[in-house]
Amino acid sequence: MKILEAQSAALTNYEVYTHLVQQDERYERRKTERLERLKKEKKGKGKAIKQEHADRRPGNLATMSIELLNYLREAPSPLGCKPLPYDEKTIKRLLEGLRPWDFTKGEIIMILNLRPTKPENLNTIVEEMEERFPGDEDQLAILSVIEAVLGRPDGDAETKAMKANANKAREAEQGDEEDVEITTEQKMDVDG
Amino acid sequence: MFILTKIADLVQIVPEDFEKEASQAIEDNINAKYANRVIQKIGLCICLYDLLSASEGLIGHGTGLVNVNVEFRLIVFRPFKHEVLLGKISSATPEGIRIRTNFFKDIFVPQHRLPEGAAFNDAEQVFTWTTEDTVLYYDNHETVRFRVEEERWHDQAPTKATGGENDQDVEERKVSPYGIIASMEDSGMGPCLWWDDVDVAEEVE
Repeated sequence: MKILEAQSAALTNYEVYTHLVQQDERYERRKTERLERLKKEKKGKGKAIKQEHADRRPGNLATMSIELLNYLREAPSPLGCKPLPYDEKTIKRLLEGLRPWDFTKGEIIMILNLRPTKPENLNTIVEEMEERFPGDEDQLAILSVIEAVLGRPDGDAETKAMKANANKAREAEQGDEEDVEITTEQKMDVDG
Repeated sequence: MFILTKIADLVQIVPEDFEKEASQAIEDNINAKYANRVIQKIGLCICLYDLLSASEGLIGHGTGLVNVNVEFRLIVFRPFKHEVLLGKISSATPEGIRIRTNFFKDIFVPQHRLPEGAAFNDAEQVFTWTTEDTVLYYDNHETVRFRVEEERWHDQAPTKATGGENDQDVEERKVSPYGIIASMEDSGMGPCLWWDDVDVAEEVE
């Protein structure tokens, strides 16, 4: 292995998301195509068709892809919204809209990934916002550009989803603890 | 949060994979080697982005493997310094708060990088943030915003075996190859619910 270029480009979450979704579809298609071909070949011979390793993508890739897609779709990520607030032209439109202001590349990427629609949220992303963009007028203008391109998040739904996720995780954790207790009890029985 | 890294490598295709399209076999091979793995000073590899070039396949002596020299780009998780990300609190100790995302678990916010007024609550094993009139909790599993501050790399190249019974202890003290030190001291950082939902401050005990 030889690293030719440590960082040849930066990607937004949306680009990674589309890549993963397309990859999933490609693997799925390949699997069905192969199974159908095998079915035709073996027609009438009465042999069961086994799934083989050639159908599947590498296991580590499957894990990565599932975990990352879950992360990207989870509230309050804009990628979890329906309909999807992004398309191929979103990045271009946002860059054009924000041209009057001087943002760094990193800030643009964060705006695309996090979709700030309140001054407090924008403040976390933009360094020294008060000095660079003083006054509410500028800040509200920036936010309205972002909102025009990326849409407005459904705040209520997002907070609900976040609370539900946290509660679910807590319940799962408690469930785990109970399981552990049961197994230790069982062990004690065996010993006794 | 994600970057592309250009890499040159030798891919060896096993005869079982000859049935596959060549490009597919190469892609599977690269993904099997890199996906969900950390390369030191590069980041956590996600998957192949695109294949830039591939040489003719050559069969070596003694094996049936087809050797192909390839150049390709990988999607890599490597947040830049001061990038703001979302994650969830997984646990807290007096030293600080551990944060995870679904796919990456080594994010740590040390206690001194929490806002002023944050303190560890011994009874509940969580951090709290006391402002003028309310006490807010950094509950476990809460979705939080944090800022990337530092990176920690630990090369896990095999070291010389120490031999004897100590071997297992060494094994257990493994550190993660890539960790992120983050902060949540600025306003707007910490649990999203505090900032996104105005009513929530009153709901929290």
